[in-house]
Amino acid sequence: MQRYLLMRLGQSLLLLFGALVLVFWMVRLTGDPAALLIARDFASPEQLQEMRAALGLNDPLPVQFIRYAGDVLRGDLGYSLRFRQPVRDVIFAALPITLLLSTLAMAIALTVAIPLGVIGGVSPGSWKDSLARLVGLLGQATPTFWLALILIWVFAVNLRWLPSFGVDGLRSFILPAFALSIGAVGQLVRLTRSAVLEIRNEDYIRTARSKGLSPFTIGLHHIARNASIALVSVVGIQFTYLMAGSIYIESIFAIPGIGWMLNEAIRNRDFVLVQSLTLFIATFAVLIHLATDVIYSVLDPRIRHR
Amino acid sequence: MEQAIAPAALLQQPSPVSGRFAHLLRLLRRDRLALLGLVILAGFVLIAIFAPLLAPHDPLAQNLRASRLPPAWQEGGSWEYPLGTDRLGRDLLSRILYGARVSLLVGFWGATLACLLGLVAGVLAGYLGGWVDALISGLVNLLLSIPYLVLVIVVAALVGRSLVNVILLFGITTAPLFARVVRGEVLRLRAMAFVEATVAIGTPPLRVLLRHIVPNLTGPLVTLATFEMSAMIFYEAGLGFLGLSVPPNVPSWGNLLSTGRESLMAGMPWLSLYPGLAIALTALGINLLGDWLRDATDPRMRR
Repeated sequence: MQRYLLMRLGQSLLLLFGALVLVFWMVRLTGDPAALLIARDFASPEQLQEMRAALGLNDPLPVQFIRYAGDVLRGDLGYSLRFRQPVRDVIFAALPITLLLSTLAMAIALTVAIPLGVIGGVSPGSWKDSLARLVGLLGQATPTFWLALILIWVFAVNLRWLPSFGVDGLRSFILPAFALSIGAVGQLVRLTRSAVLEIRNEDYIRTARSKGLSPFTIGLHHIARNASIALVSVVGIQFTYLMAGSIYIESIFAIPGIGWMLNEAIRNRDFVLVQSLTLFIATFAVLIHLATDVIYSVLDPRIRHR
Repeated sequence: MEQAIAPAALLQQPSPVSGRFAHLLRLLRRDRLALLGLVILAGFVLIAIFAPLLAPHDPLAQNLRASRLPPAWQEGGSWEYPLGTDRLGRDLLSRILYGARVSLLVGFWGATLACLLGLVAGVLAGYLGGWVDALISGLVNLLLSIPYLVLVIVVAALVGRSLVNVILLFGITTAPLFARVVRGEVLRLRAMAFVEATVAIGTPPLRVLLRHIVPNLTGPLVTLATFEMSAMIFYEAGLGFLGLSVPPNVPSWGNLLSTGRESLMAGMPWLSLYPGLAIALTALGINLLGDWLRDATDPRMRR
């Protein structure tokens, strides 16, 4: 167990280092960061040169990288030109909003997907199963940004029940969370259904049945418990997808979270913010992945003894 | 007993692939959902090819006297513009028909490029092992650890808007997914008896690779490519929606939706509704086909 955890921790640290290298080079690969920062057409060569010197861009790349890595480790993520604030403050202001939105979307997805997937999985071929499969297929085929537009049209423009943009209490999160959840609903219904289908054929279910246990007891204690292990392994990853999907949703609903910030940073060519947000999201994803694996190894002893 | 004396010539036979195609077709006729998926995809391919013949108008032609028209069956609509027009009087139906070209081009070539890159990288990693494997696997894990949408959006913002850039972007960023699958399959196949036997009788490594390993990768690769094609159509629309895909004057489904919010507020919901339906229908069709391909090409699912 300890060896497994140490190995995963080491892998995660390597990935984080890789992500740091990647975002550092990503901006430099595409050209001159100084030219990206100020409009190339309007800046004189002298101004560009001055900018390069001020940003330390004349030093050799490894020196620049070490300086960048040192800054990041000390928590200095640079200064956002778009928001006129240190990037760290921008991220900390935006993070709770995105976490709330993603958590709501995940709650909706799980509430819809688990019952539907289980009901479909225990009675394959029935109309309930067809419904589960249909929701799975449509959930995966519906673009989240399009659903957001449709929801705005129906519930904000026509019925005037809910706000279509900005943050004004929890009601502002209802439409965005529903729109954001659609992909996860599709994925999780399909996953739950196939996990239940698979578990139904296991020997221990046959044993439970031959003992004369009621279908309800078997469903709850044997099938649902084992299917939940399969779910744990994807819920974390789905959560990072939801955070990424917030780029669309927060931009449509003008909710100032991480996704909206990233879109704003790109539109305003604020590459310091783009770089830091990418690094932050990658770090978050790596940590969630690590946490998922740890929880999974606790739940399923077969993993940690491998 | 017969197996023990199998002549070397028998082992040299390529893996049975050609017979599988006929088998697939037979299976396809039995699965109605998969057939529906194929019909939808074929429909969109035909639309993309024959868009100039099918479209009632030039997708870029403006007609200010016919601007903001609703779909024909609504009050004030006209059958000259079946799905209505935008604020410049451009025909929505024609723009959606032409949009199929962008989506399918991006999906097809993006998935093909990703498949080829992933095949090469995955075979190298799985077959050579050692530091090559460590390097490729490390890079694959790194790229897959960043949420995909974030990766493509940031790279798209850096490289600029063009069709070729979008295809390259999807091809390169999706290649790790293929590489991971190929590497795993190569490792699994290498350990199987029929490959060990061919190696044991002295078949050169390249020949083992090309005749015994690569043909057996077709199933998983085609399945993955199908799903990735629908994912790329999705992501292309998403990039277009954010203004990061093909140039703004190109009628792609994503570009059509990029003004979706303003269209709603200006009372023209049809401009948001129909391009999205096209995306959803295409994705549904390809996914149905992918589901069936996955089951049909996986020997474990064959009953």
